[in-house]
Amino acid sequence: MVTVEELKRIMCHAGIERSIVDAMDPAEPLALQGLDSIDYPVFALAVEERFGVKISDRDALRLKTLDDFKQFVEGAR
Amino acid sequence: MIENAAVALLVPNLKRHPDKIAYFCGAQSMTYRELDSACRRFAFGLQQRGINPGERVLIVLPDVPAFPVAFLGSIMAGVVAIAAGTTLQETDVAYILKDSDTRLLITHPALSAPRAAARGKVDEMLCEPEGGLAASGSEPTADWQPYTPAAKDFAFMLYSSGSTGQPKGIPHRHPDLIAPSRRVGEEILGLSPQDVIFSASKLSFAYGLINSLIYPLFFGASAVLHPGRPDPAEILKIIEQHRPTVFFSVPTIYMQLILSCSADHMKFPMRLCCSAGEALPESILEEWRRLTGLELIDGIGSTEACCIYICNRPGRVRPGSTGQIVPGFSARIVDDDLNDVPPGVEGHLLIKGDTLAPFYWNLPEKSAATMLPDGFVRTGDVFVEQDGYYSYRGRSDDMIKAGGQWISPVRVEDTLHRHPAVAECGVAAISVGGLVKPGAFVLLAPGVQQGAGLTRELRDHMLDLLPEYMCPARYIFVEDLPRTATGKVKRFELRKAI
Repeated sequence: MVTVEELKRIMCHAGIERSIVDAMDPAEPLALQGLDSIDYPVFALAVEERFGVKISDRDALRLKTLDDFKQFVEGAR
Repeated sequence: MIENAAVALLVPNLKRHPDKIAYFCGAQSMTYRELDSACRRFAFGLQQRGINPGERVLIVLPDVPAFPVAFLGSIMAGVVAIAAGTTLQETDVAYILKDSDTRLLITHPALSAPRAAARGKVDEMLCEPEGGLAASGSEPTADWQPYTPAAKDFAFMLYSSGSTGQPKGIPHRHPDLIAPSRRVGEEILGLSPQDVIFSASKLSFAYGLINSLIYPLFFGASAVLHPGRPDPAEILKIIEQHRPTVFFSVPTIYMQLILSCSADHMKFPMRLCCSAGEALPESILEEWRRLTGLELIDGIGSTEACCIYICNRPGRVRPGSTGQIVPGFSARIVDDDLNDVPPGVEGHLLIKGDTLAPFYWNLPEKSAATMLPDGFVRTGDVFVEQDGYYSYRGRSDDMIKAGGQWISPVRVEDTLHRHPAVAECGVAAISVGGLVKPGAFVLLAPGVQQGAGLTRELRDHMLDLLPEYMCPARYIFVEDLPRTATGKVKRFELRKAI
């Protein structure tokens, strides 16, 4: 079981600003909540490393929200 | 003598539709008549300051109306307009000011790095906070004429990141500003006066300069300037407000736009969406088409060429290929000894065309190594050609192109090495979602433990010292780094390790 809170912790550890992370709605696109083109790959790579999953090029375009990441990691484990 | 490029771009519009809007920017707009008048005043103002044809001025401005005024006004006066990005650090701007022997800095009051770099060394002219440049010069006298250039005169210069991390100046002549409109704008994209052009890539890059500044003037179209960061929410707002017909950007931004969409499809007013600046993954091309119904016209160009030289054609996009050669250019794919390789075999891409920069500013050795005696120029890219279609395969050097910006691994490594936890490091390209980002391989100093806290500390350290796009997307802690016999890090092996 992966929680949104755990994903948010990974974001913070990866260096993404806490104020952005704290305010995040898990159902809304990360790209519209302050996660820019530099932060997104940092987060995606941190998720790969933490859970030992591989995010393909195609997956990366469908993982838009924290909920998407949660479902993806749970499905891939 | 040849025609001044600024005059060639401005005068036909002044005759044809002086009150048509050339540039939209936020709540402001600028007509062709206003643009021409402001450029003439700026050019006259430079002369009155005693800045002579052939001398240089440096423009560090966001995408606001002052940029085209300063850029075209300088060219009109025969002064070489240098454009540099607003994210450059003080040391980079100081280097450019010195390397180019700049006479005047034109910048925005909110930009501290260029102002600090110029303080006490180079005169400064500030645009208005909203982006205008009304006070740049007085009305020219009745007998004033724009400068008539000789064929060898330079019109402008852009700086690109070099392999050692120092920017390198790439000068261009007047006709180099006109040719891309004919070769790409007209023959490939079919641009027209009815078009409204929006480029998320900034004016300080060759790609953005041609898209936002040159195409609108050449075709008598209009352009939308966006001074802020290319944030997807802002881009979507601008598209909604100005309804552009042609959109230019880089794959990183197309990916951000895709990621910002929670619906099953997006409806856009554009007839054309173009991509360049970095390799376009097939996954982005396909997802963009699925979401929007629009194809992405991918191409590759360079600051050296001042033009896209390989490009797909609307309606004939080949996924996975950068496209076919652009009229006016020729290409060769060669092995390490400059022998042509057969179709289907990877090799180094060389290009030739009459808009190529003749040399790098003050860098004779780098120029001789890149600009070959037969007129071909090394691009540093590895390509394969089949049936006239060219496909990108990577870089032949260690340079990283991320989000349309060059990154020198040497510079990133030097900065990372300054952190006390880092004993040794190597920086190489890694792939995320098909896009290239810098990745750092770190050998820790004795006694230092790896962990999430350290990753964050390294990231903060890099963000303090480098522009964000240069900061590694991932830190990989290793026990050893592959090295050559002379002790240099083998970055190509690091690339393969991911």
